[in-house]
Amino acid sequence: MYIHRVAVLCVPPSEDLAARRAGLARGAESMPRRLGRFGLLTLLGADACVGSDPLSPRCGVYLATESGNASDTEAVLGQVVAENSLPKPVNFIHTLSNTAAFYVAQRFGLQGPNHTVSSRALSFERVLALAASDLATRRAPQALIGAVDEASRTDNPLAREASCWLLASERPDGALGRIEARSEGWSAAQALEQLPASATKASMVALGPLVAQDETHWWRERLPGACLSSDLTAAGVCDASVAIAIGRLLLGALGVVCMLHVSRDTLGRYVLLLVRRL
Amino acid sequence: MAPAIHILGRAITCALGDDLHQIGVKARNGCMPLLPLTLELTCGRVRRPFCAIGQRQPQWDAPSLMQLILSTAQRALADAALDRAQAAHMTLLLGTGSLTIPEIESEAHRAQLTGERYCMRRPYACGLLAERLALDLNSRGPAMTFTTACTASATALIHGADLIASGQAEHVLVVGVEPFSRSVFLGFESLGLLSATACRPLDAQRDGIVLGEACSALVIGARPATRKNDWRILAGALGCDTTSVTSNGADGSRIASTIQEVLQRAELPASAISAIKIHGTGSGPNDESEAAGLRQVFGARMPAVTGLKPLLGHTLGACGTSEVTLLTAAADAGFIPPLAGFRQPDPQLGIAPLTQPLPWSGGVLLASFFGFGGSCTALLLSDR
Repeated sequence: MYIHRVAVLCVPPSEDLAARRAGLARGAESMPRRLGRFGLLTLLGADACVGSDPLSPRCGVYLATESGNASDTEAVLGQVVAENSLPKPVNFIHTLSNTAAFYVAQRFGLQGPNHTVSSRALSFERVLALAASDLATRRAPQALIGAVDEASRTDNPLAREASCWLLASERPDGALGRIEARSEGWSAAQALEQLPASATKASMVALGPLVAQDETHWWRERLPGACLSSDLTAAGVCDASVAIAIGRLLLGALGVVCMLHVSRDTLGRYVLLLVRRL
Repeated sequence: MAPAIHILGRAITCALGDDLHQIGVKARNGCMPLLPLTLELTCGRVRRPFCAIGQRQPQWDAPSLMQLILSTAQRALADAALDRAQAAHMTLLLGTGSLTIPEIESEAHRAQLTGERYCMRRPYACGLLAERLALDLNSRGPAMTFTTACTASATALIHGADLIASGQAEHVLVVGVEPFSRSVFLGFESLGLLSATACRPLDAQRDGIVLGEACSALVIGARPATRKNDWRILAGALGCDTTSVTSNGADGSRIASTIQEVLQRAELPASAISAIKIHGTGSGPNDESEAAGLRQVFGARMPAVTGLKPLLGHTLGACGTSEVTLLTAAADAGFIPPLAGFRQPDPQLGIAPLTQPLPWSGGVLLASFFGFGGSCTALLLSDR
């Protein structure tokens, strides 16, 4: 899968998005009514990724999220449980997990598949696989793939919110980079074995937030020529940290061309992604 | 054309029960299991019919919800006769609209009763249910949750079929689950979408949606089922209608193009369809757009049309797997269920649904599912 455009939006939860919202509204015929923070983050990231490039109307939208629209969900819970009243319709609509991805499709007139998926700690890896499947089966000629999450702890100074997007297709011409390989296993060794030998020549190994600190040595031994990076150190506490790492690599912000990203979920399952900047 | 994918096992727990034979009998008889649900709010009383599992006031917490999902999934796996090794390697796809909201509500409600200050446990993780189920089933294959509102489990089913067709999975367990949640029920009420009487799609007397709860599971794979009736998924289509976040365009053009795409993928003409299961929520806008879409594809040669939401309620994210389960089980019993409770044709729609069971001896079924967020899905199923 080739990546043609990238956007990485990563902000502290305290950042006021009003100015960014105004910029977004200037470029659109209309804006969704009372868009909450999750929806706004989604549109800001997707808009930055697409830019002024025309997309195929059959382009698919693939949104990965760990927690969905947490702030509107909290608002509805407050209205329904604490106040024992009807929820406000606009809050309720925004709690539907796929509303944000719909607004992306609406903004760019995209009639292809429109997915919102979650898979604890592996959401972005799963949505990449889903998009690759849809590209391969010709369900969509292009895939706009995003990871969006609000901060789960606003009192943590390291907490970050992110909306990171990739525009992918199977066409290599003009691509910024490529997802070269993907593997999955119940140990790091098992997952690494399934990757092509070129994976051991990656110039960087990025370790996801649930990869234990004491695994650093293991990875250093397996890929002695690679520098090691931690998503937590690089991106702060952020559920979309995998997408941030991939986005930054493809934007040339990491100073390397090939990265092996290592994610682990709470059950101990590993998913590895080999990503190359072209 | 992609290779056909076989339905190997199926199970459902819904307002009609959990025994597929008994559910079939009730569907033939047009049973509408409506429970009058009353919620006392500070602004007054909300009283609406609801299709509840077990015909009791619905109340879910984390253990009871997981038990519902686990027992339904286990029945589907037993029906498919997967051995332990196959089950351990299967892919698990779960579709839901309400995610873990019912258990969050339960915690919030308990905190309120005890006077504690409730703070939502963030992140509440959308993918939690699929992960828990994988753990309970000892499944070590990939697990993922689709949250595309009312098309969630239908979308999961289509993706599962793609994974098998491309050789990425041997077996996929697709689960749809939608328990009652106060937030969702009152959310639909706040939008003015709920019926005061019954779900009556395509009916001039329609007055809205009746929500329901269900958990259903389908096991799909590349090899034929050992049962007498071998149901195959011939093709699936996915699309997005960008008209409005809450409804399809009234002209039905995106619905028509989704149906045309699924026919194209299966390399079948419209005339090959023996019967149609519409989405049929019972709302005016849904009827208008869906009827317009069907007219564009089928014109004057409309196959037999039915809908299952009068029987199950609108089970939102679970309606894909639930309605495929009920539809194929009824067909196995030799009939396509009539549109229960139908009274008066709507002359504006130009579609006359089944009012009596349609004898079934095999054929191709079209099943459509649409939802909030512009989701459009269509499936072609065949037992011929």
